Amino acid sequence: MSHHAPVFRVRVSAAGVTLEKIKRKHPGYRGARKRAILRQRDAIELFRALKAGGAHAGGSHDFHFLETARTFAMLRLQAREAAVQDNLDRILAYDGSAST
Amino acid sequence: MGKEKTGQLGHGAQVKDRLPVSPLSDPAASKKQRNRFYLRRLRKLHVELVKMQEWIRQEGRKVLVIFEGRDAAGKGGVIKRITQPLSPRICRVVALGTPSERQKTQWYFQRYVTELPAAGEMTLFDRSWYNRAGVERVMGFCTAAEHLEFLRTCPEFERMLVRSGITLIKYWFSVSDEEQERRFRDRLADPTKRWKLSPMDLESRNRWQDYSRAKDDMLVHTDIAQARWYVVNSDNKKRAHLNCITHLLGLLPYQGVSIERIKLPKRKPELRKGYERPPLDSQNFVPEVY
Repeated sequence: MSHHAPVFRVRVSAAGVTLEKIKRKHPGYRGARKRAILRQRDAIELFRALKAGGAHAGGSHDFHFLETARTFAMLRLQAREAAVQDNLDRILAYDGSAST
Repeated sequence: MGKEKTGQLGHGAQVKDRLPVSPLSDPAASKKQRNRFYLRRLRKLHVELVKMQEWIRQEGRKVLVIFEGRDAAGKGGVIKRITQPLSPRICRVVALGTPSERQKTQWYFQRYVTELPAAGEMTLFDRSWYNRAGVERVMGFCTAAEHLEFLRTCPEFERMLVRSGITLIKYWFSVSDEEQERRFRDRLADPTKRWKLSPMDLESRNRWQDYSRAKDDMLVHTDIAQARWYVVNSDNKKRAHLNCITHLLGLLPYQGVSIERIKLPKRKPELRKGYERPPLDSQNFVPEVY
């Protein structure tokens, strides 16, 4: 990992999750590089902390490696998918007696 | 709840509450005390397992338990203790080997699907589809894309299983680096255990950290509400056996099942008439060496 290596940013919004590469000449590069998460484990911990805090809101997180960024993005999307599936389960199990 | 003289622990969820302080975790306890405690407790848990088996059979439940963990983590030992008192018709162990050339071309989960439990069965998977997230990833037997596809598909697949009525329980056996090394040495020294060690296992020791990362990834991606991962601390085998079986019993609501008492009827003497056993030397007996 050189000093000018790109940083990978995961943007989470209501519309979905996106991945983008922040190159050296990008205006926010220095800050992103400082904040960027290096280890896979830290990415997982961040995901867990956000999940435990019930954070479904958007935000962006920077990572040194594409693989780590992808893992984080996948986890966020899978969490949404799980919520949708659970919601679907409740809808299908609804018998009309009370609210779902 | 059926009342019986032995193993009257009641509903599975209450098993743990009724356990006394374990000599297995007491450093002051002697080896004899620990063994005696272990065997007595295991006996009681075996009685509960039989009740659970009866519940599965009567209710037509489908139970799938997955045992995962590093080599020599103690998966096989727990599986043995669970199956010991149970009927092989109801409780079955599945330990698939390496896939054939044909299976390699199939959908990854296909060869496991045929082994899933039917109504009234409990299937224990000694390693499972999670091979892809562990050994296959670390040893390079699958591509990065196949691994990512697995992490994506697995939760969906498991949700489908649960929706189809399967109770899916997943255990990860956690063993420390030092304990694994000690068990490997045991296996090397003991001719009855040497078959358990393959060159792959030895290579996997060199990749301890890669396995740890793969495990972290796997647990976080596949720990879903419908099928949680439960981690069993297995540095101490006896404790791991009791803890895992107790936990398993606690997850299954097998209350209300009573095992019927059967009285052995006296044989009617008239039924024995008309038959004479042929001479013993007409049959090939196994030599009585002992």
